[in-house]
Amino acid sequence: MQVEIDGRIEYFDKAMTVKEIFKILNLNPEVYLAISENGELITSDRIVKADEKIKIIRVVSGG
Amino acid sequence: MKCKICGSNAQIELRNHNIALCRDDFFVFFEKRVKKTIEKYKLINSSDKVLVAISGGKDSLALIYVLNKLGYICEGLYINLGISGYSERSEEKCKKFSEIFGLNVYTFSVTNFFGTGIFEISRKMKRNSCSVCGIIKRYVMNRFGVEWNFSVLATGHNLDDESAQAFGSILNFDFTRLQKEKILLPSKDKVLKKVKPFSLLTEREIAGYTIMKGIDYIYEECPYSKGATSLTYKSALNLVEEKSPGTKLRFFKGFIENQGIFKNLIDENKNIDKDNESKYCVNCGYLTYRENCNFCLIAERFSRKDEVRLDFSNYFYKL
Repeated sequence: MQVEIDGRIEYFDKAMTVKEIFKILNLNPEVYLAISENGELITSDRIVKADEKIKIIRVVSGG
Repeated sequence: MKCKICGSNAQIELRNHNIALCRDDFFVFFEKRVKKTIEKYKLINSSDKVLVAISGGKDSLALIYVLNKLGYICEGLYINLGISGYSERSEEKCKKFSEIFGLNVYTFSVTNFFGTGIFEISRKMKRNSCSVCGIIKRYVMNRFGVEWNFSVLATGHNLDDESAQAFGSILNFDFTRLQKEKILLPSKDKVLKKVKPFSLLTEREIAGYTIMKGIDYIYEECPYSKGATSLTYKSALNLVEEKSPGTKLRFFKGFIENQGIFKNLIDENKNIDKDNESKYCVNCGYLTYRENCNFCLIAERFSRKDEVRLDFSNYFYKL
């Protein structure tokens, strides 16, 4: 699977839930949202397949 | 995860409310929450003409979109700060938003008015960029709003912004700031009423709404916000929120309800307003605490004092 986050790409070779991906990448779920390839938001229990691509975006801004 | 309302696949989990919602039910939830905040705190009424401060970011674009959807009369004002690259990209987002959703957005260019961007202005004024940016934004938004007959200025400040500010002020025992932080600042002579309708919505909820609505916003941060203390406070609160969902909301609601205690603390020590009675700027005629307001002091440094007084309205354009 391919995970795009903060302008970089991370690769994982097995299916995992969004929650597990966040844990591996040490991301606070209050600060990030996960988006599937078709542009839909996905929840923490959603299994991301090994051949899928997702995007994780940071939602907290400064100022 | 299933939607708590209709049972279909959920798209967003709201741990602070202990629910997950599908796209359509999240829209209903979000818009209801904004309306409830507006009504509970009497932020806007149906006859108001609302000026929305927009930056091209998720909060401000979502705000003008929702206010318009809820039936309020609103238009936007974007201030181009002259930050190379970043300002062009954020202005472009506002322009596209305005075209797609058919909402009026006006613009004021700092470079056009002062002859240079925010970085050079702050360097010359020997102040940090955020402080100068705040002075310029507050002045321009208020003056445009007053002179173009708006009755309310709405900003996209969200629960994360508001709770982080309150948290920072408590950490520093800054009672003056604690007393000043409000969802609604009433109008005065030549000062527009200011409201924050997103105060009870998290950045995550606002970003979710903006993405689901297909509103294209600028993801990148202002280059001058790097290392901002407010980000540290936000991170700290989000760490607590992760372990104990709903903390930010409880904290900020509790803060609003108990805000009166800070006023008493100030009064017991010294009256902060005693030496700071407001008067009118000798150059532009708007409220200040000195002879000249901060904006006119900057304008003087850049030989633009006459322009502030005589033809300021000529510097606003429709995007």
